[in-house]
Amino acid sequence: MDKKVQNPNFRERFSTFMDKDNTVGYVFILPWLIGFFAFTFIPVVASLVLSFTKYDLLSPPTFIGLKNYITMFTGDALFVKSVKITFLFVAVSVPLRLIFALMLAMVFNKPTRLTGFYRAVYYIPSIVGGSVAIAVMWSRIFDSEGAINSIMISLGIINEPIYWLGNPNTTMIVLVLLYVWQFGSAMLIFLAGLKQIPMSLYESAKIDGANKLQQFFRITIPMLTPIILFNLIMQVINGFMMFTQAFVLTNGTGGPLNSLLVYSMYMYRKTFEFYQMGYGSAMAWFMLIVVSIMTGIIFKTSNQWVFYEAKED
Amino acid sequence: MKRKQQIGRLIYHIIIMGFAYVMIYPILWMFFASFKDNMEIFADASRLWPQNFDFGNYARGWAGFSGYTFGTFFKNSAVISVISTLATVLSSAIIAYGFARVKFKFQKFWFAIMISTMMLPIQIIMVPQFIIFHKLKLVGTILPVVLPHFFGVPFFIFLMMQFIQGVPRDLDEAAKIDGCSKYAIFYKIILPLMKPALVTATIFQFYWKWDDFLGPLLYLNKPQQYTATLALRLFADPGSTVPWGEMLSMATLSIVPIVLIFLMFQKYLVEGISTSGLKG
Amino acid sequence: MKKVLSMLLVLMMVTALFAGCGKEEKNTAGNETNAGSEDASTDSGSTESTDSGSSADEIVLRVAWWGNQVRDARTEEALALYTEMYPNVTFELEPIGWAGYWDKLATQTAGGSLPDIIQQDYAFIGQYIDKGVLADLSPYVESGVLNLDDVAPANLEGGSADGGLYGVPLGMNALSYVYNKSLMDQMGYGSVDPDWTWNDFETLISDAYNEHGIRSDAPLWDDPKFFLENLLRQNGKNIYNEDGNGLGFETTDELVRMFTILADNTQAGVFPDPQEIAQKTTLEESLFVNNETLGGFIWSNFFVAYADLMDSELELTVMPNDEDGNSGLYLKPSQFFSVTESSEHKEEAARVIDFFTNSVEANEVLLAERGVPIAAAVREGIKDSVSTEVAATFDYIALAENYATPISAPEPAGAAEVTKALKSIYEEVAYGVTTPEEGAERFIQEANAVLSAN
Repeated sequence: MDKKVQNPNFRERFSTFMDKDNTVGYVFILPWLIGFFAFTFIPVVASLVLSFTKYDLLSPPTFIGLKNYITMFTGDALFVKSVKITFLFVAVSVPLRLIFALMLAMVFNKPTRLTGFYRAVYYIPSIVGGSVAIAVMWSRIFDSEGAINSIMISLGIINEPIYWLGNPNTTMIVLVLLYVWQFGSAMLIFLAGLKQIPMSLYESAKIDGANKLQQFFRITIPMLTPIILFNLIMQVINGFMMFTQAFVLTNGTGGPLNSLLVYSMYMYRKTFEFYQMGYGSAMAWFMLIVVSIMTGIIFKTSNQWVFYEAKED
Repeated sequence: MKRKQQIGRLIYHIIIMGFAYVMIYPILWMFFASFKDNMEIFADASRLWPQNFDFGNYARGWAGFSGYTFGTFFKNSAVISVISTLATVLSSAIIAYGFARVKFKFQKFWFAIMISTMMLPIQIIMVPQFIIFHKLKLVGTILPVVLPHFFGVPFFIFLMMQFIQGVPRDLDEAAKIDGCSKYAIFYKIILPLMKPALVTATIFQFYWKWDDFLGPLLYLNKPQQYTATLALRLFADPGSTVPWGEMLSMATLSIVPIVLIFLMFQKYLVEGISTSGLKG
Repeated sequence: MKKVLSMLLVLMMVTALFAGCGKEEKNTAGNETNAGSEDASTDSGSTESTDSGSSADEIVLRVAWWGNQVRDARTEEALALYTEMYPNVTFELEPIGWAGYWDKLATQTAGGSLPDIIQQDYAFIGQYIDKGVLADLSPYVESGVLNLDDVAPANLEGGSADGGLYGVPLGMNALSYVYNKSLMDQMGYGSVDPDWTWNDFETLISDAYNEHGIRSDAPLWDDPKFFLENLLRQNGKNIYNEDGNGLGFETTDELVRMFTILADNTQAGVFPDPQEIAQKTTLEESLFVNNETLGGFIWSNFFVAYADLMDSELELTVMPNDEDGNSGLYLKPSQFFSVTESSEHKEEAARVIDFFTNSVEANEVLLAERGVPIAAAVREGIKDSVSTEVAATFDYIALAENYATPISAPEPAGAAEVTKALKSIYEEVAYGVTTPEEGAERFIQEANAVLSAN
């Protein structure tokens, strides 16, 4: 046993304490812990409790047990519809977004003269966010005399204009396109990830005789997997929680025959238009559970395909 | 060979340019529509170029509400966005390092909690949060809007974690041998190598905050505190005609700062990581 | 890197300080109880008042409304006039858009942070009254602070419940039929006779289509509840029963009638294809504004918006009556001003509302932007100052008053959900997904299910 000093003074004990992994870890995540307990923990618990109540926001909540959950699954056709719509939306738009983002990130990774300009152009759509201006813009383009119809008619694809926003069967296309159009943020993250791959890896590969394709599959993709994992999870989460685009595109109505009544919108409607916050909270927790399960699955499988440069020892 | 390269490059530019036009068309449409009057915006939806350029839309839109011009609103947006962004990026980097590089008890548990907080919709959390801030007597100030950012934002924490995990541990080891504590490793080694992540986080958080509607709606009571995004919604009243031209003009202006931030920071995305750290 | 970081930190602190100046309103020690004590009105609103002395007479009232640029400017000016008259009263203005107004209000209610005076809407006021959020203004009416002598009692029904008055209308409104006079003239028809019936209506629209190819708007597409309500009222019924826990009618007659008018005329082409209607969501692109339909049912307030957009001559008339001459019309407050129960200055707030109601000077500023003023003296006083379109709405309300019967009580909790359910089914009927009979049955079922939870 190492007995450096008879009575180790405070300073030494302090720095030993501070250097212990447990301490270091908690020191670093301390800001998050504080914020979590101050601003998030109580609201989260409150929302869980509220899901077992009837709460109209204007007067105190009353306890009703599992009633909300039971109604959700057995007595609410719109709930089921919104779940279906949301799943469909996620299944279509998340892969599309990821593919475009990755493709364009690869393209823009090699600098040409106009790359900076292109990058900005492809990124701008995602910053237009959910303003009402987008809705106006987008619905103009899909208007009966808008750009899309004009082009399709002149190309002979259709003979008469399609009422994209009036036809319950085509509204999802408009929403998906709007959402996928905003792939710029995912693209940027992929770009950052690509930039982090050290050139030296490519250089040594080239020396070893690897061609572009091999470099892509042997270096780029594996090194990029942590970022792919991130984007995949975030896009899934955001896809399920998507609200603003649908809300603003349909002016809050959910589209003809409720064809765009995504889950978040129905939850919002229940909470703030029908003053049933208890039910809304139940819906929120259901979504939390579903998304957690999906995320958990993705994380679990990630052990197989994600490669961390910094492997745990 | 050169000819082939040239043609290849030409095709590349044509396709990317063409696609870029498609991507930017809606924004262009919005920009030109801001010069049109109401009927024209809707009458001829496929025409880009306005019949007449009505600059008046910008003047009228700028006039804003309740005696405050959009100058005030943009300033408010800027203050909130800048503070939030700085706070987020710094705090998230610190927290991310903890999760990514340090082993500590219950780490996985806290990580799972953190990720889960991203899955609860804001519409449900907002009422209890409002009550908390009301009890803290912070309603009516910008504090509820910016304060949470000083404690990390899970999206960025997670993002930075993934980036940190891409940095080889050899560097950490080397530094440790040199006598650096974990704190020093973070400061001297990891942080500099996280530039792309930091830059990305800056760009994103800035524009997310700029676009934030719910926070300013609930916590800012006086028009003089309103942000641009909040003010933009005031243009649309269901009971009367919406001054679309004015709204679109201010919406167009609202994009400018975000684009500027992007242009300012994107050059850091151009430089790769200096690989000098990987000697040996 | 270290330098940059420390610079950033300093920058952060500086901006934080900067942002703190003048905006911080950390209150002094106040107790917080949940919905109870309202400390906001004694808040450090000294940023707005001209004198920061803490005399007992200094009152700051928080006023919230939704609106647009025009309304905001006018309301602010009107309130400034009040401060001129009563210098010890100043206002903190909290205008926001319709989008988010109710979210914010509900959240403020839950959090106990409501303003003193809030703008209210007929669709929501019932709930707020029910839960005790709004103050009863009748004591102030009796004491004369809030003088409503010049107001026809019928106008006040909408804001009354259980003998108390919870909201004073800022303007009146009524359903109407607006039609394109130019098109009528083209077709060789005269003006619509206010005593017309639903049969006359159906004849008019099918003749217009079959003989002249001119379609008509599907009735009240955005809110078919008003269509149903009109038909019910003509038969002396109400949508909701007295207790608010079920529908006020049992048979499907009116529902089927409504859905049948919709289905038959949509199929015949008299009403536009629902896809086209759903596509064109704004006024500017609507078929009526583009002279493609003959007319539709609107709230009289909207007349001004249409008239502004259209060059054609427009006319307003009452809704069709039933065969026995019964009208379903009623005068509806377009918005109210209410005082919150949590306000600490209810009397002063009531006085402000009195000002808005009775002061000709204030209304010369407001210019009936919110609807036709309820005080006769005010209507007379500003008639010459308002635009011709607005004046037309004044005339219309006068006409409608001859046909109108009292407004029903404010709607019970769950009304919003019932309304949305009706709209869904209405759409389905138009799209041909549901038959009128099926739709009627389903609606009764769904509505009763929602209301029975009350």
